[in-house]
Amino acid sequence: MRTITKTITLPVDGSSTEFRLTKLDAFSGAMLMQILSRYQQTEKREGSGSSLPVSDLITRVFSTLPAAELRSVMVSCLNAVEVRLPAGWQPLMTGSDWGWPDLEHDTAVCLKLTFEVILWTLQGFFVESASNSPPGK
Amino acid sequence: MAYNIYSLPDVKSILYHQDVGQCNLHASGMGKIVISRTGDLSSHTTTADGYVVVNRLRSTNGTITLEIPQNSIGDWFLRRWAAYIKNVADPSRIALGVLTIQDMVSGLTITCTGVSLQKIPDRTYDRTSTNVSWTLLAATITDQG
Repeated sequence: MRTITKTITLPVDGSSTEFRLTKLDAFSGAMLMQILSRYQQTEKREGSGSSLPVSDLITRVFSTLPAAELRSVMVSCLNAVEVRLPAGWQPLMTGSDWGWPDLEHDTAVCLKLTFEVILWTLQGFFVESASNSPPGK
Repeated sequence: MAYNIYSLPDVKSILYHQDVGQCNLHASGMGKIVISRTGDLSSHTTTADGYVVVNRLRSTNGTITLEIPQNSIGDWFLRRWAAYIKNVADPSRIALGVLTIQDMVSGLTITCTGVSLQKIPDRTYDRTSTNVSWTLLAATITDQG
């Protein structure tokens, strides 16, 4: 059985909370690759030499992504996240609906989780993505 | 001819328990919701000679019946809730449910707090799926709008 989930711990409102990330399916992952590579090529053309670390790349992508794409990427990533509540694992989002409303107004944690899902989905494509440190500080 | 609109798809019902999570019933299969209040608003005390005292009564609690399609997300959510409260050590966790029913057309919002599960419902295995009837008890039901 292949491992497609990973458990990480992030502080939410002062208390450490466990999240379980599931890799996006191959087609969604390819879509992420397409977006990332688009920006990586731009960076190379600008003459910055070696390609950027993937976490910086994701941060740059997020700063320039059109609103609709940003939303769709975030929603598909957050759909792949579950949170550990006392009753068990609960999906963070189902479609556009929140399964755990505590994060509805927590931009920082939602962005971190989105980054983590991208890294986890594309693990193996980038050497750096094997690291467990949360990107984007 | 004057008319009014009623639309069940525009009734947003959200079930929340801080230990279980949130479930949007309107997006995960909603069959039917019945909110029934237990207490009366008034009652009469009558005497043999016909004298009537009207008693004003206060009551906030009630029963909510959720008819949810078998195996829908809502059903799964309630099953997890039931499994959790059966074994939870701290009794204060069992009545932490909140059910909000917001009718976008009429503007009426019903908020039920102190919601607990009355029982695990009957489950039928038939040729096709049936509705599962979950009964919830609410300590406080309030209307707004």
